[in-house]
Amino acid sequence: MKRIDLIRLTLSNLRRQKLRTALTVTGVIVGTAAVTTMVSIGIGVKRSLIAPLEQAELLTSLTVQPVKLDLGSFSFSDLGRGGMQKLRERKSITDETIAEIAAIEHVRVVYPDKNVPLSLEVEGGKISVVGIDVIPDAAITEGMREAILAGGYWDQTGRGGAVLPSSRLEDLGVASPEEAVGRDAIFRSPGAFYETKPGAEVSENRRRVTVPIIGVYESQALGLAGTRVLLPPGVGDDAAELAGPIGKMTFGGPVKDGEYRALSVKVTDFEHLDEVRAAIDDKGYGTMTAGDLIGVIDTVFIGIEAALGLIGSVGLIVAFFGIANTMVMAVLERTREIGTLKALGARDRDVRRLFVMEAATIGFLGGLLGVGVSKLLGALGDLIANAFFARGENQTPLDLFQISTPLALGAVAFAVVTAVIAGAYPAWRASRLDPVVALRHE
Amino acid sequence: MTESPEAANQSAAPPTPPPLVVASGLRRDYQVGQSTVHALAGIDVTIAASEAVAIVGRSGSGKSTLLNVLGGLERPSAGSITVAGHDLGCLSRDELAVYRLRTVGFVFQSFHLVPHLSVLENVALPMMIAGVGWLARRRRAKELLERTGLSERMRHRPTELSGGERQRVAVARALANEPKLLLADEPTGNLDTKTAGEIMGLIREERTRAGAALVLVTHERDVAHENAERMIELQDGAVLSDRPTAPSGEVAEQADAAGAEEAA
Repeated sequence: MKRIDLIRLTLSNLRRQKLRTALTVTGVIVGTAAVTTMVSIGIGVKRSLIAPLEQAELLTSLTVQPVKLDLGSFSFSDLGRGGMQKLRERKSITDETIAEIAAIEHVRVVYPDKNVPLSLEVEGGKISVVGIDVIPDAAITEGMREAILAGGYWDQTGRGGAVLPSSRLEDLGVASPEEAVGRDAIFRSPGAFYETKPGAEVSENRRRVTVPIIGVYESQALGLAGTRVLLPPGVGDDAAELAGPIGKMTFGGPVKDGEYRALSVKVTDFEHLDEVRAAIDDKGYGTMTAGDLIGVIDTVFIGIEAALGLIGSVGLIVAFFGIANTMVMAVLERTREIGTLKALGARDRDVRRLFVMEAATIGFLGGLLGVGVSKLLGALGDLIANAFFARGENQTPLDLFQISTPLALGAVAFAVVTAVIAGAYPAWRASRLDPVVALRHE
Repeated sequence: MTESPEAANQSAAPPTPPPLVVASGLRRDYQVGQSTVHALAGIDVTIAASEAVAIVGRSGSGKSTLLNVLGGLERPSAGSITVAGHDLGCLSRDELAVYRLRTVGFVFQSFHLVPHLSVLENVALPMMIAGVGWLARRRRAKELLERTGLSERMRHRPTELSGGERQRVAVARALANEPKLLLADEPTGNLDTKTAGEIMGLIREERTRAGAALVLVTHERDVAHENAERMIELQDGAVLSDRPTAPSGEVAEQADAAGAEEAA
């Protein structure tokens, strides 16, 4: 029998029992939609965690640390003696190291990592804790310049000062980017925030660094790093000092004088990141990239997605029995017809294929429609999620239900395979019928 | 003197064609509860290609079983049966299916048409199973239906047809793959006398045109005499008599009477 005729017969058989086909397909739709929706939530949540890490700025950055740490193969034994051994083998990062790394090909800029938390009070606004980053002029990229909403960077304005992230303006009591520029930013050690009762004055005997706010950038454009207040060297170094020992801590204790706890390295382009990284690794330093974190998230989510998929599969298991039941009924009803086919010369495998094809078609239809239903549910879910979390206008809307093409295809394939397995036994029974007995069947 | 191949052929005696069906010691037993029923208890029969043979006997005499074994629907329990070179006892399930597809055409008492397929599709069904393309099998099915006088009914479902019309469809279907052996199991059993005559006429005509042998199971001696050259009577799974039928009605009656006496 030709494949095309097999399909023709199958469709004709399914059309004959429209209601039963529709009900069975509905079962598969529910099952497939459940699996797809569950897995898509897992993927969506993962994506929303990873997306900020995938900004161009981060993908061309790496951090140099005094200790080699392997996030991918972390185990609890690292906390034991082996781990301590690693920490004792810590390299020291000095100005010499900076020169050494700057000499590596494709390195655009190297500078000490001075990311620390500080309390920040905007003149006439409110006080909050922010992370600051001290970056040299060379570390300001085109992307960072394009993200400017008001004012600019110090090399443009000719005035040393703070560039604020848009996402923190509300916390700092500033209504708009334009309003922030020109006001004073007062940095104190992070403890100042926690000592301050709402409305009370900050004690004046705390050391502080006051700089003007010279610009505001769009947080979203810089991804994960888009929450930091950017400062130039000089005033920035003074501000970073306010954090005290926090800024000096690294793996295995504080750094010595003249040592840096870590370095930020910007590579000319993403393609050369691994090359530069290997060169630094060879020198005995530890390196970390956004990609490492993505890897860890990926690993964790494999388990989460599998668990969600398993929960969703319950729907398909139910559909499995629905299909099996439908096929058993179909074989029973069509016993005489099977007998006729066999008497006319259909082989066992022709009969078997006819029923397997029928089950597969039910699975395919259900799978296809199930993915469609899941897409609709996802769109609805995103709508509700975005309304519920009332995202600001500067933020991209949530996309929690992500049904990628591989997921959609995988879901349909899963439905088809489930259906084929469900139809296998009834099909086998049909194929083994004795034609003489089957023809006598009433 | 050089002999041409033609001359050589003419000088040699024309070879007798081998018989289409050769069965010897054919047995078929059924297990019914604790006891064994011998549906066929050692049958020896030979049927020539393009011969028309009627099998008569009371119900339970083994007529249908013999037909089913001939048609590859049942396997013999013992003995041997060869049809067109196929040793039916030795064929696998698949080979037996292919034998049914290519070598035999079946006409059943209760038609056995597929209810949800149109008349045309029913006739084309054996060709579809054989893997014949859509266009080719439709062309042949139409041709067969025109010959059986059903060209106006091709798009109808079998349930919309009369019994006679249904059996015409079944005859057309049986001929679809050009069988060497046409098997008819009480083909007129569900039809009135007039329609039965028409159907038997059609079977006769078509099987002569196709050059196929016919094995006709019937319990009506008239039908056997009118439509077969030879009549085999079975009783309790064994051959009671095997003789030519007389061509004219008068002689047929005499032969029939003789047969009845023999049976009594």
